[in-house]
Amino acid sequence: MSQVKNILVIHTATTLNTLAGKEALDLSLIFGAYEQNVSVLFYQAGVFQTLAHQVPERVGQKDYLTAFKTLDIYDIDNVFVCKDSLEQFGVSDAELIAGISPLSKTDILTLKQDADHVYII
Amino acid sequence: MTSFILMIHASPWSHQSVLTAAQFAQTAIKRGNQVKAIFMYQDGVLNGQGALDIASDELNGQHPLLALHEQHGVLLLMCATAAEKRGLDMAQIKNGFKIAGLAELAELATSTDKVVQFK
Repeated sequence: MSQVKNILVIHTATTLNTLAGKEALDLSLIFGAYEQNVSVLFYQAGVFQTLAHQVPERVGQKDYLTAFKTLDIYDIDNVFVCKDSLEQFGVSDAELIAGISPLSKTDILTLKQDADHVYII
Repeated sequence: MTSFILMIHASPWSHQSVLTAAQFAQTAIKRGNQVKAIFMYQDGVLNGQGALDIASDELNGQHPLLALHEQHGVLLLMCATAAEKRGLDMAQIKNGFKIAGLAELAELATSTDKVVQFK
């Protein structure tokens, strides 16, 4: 039987070295389209995807980052970045894409506990 | 009985994780659980290549995946978007594998107990 599940998609890769960021985003969008309850978390090196003012075209890549600003269109309102990871990579003072909220380790634990399915990309 | 979807993210020639996924599936089925599908995402789609010709004494994740399909009818789904990005020729997919959209994963997952990733 079909039911609404809590889906958590965790981004762990840097922004442009691999396709991972885009491929994680695609998962969120499809689960959003299927009206699942999707949360997105940027974790470890994945925090680099949340930095504002990146221009992928300048290094010959397509821009998938703009989509992070428009996740609410898919009813994805829970978009988080790990506070500790931001500190770990020395970007805790950097400007983030609007709408992405820093989250503590404890809150991340709750987020994971509440999820039915977790996808780490 | 628990229902599973397994996700494979790595290529057939480089990662133990593909073999581990197949072994996990065999054991899960043997113990009376259901493996609804194995979904190939990211570089995992390379497991479904038709023209894969790996020496028999080398690591080859495609064989144990095909065995699951042949023995238990496990669906071997390859993500179309991921395959396109990697330039796979859709007309040259190995028999037993099937091209699917992410939508198919989403639809299956809504009625599946657990999704397990092998990276």
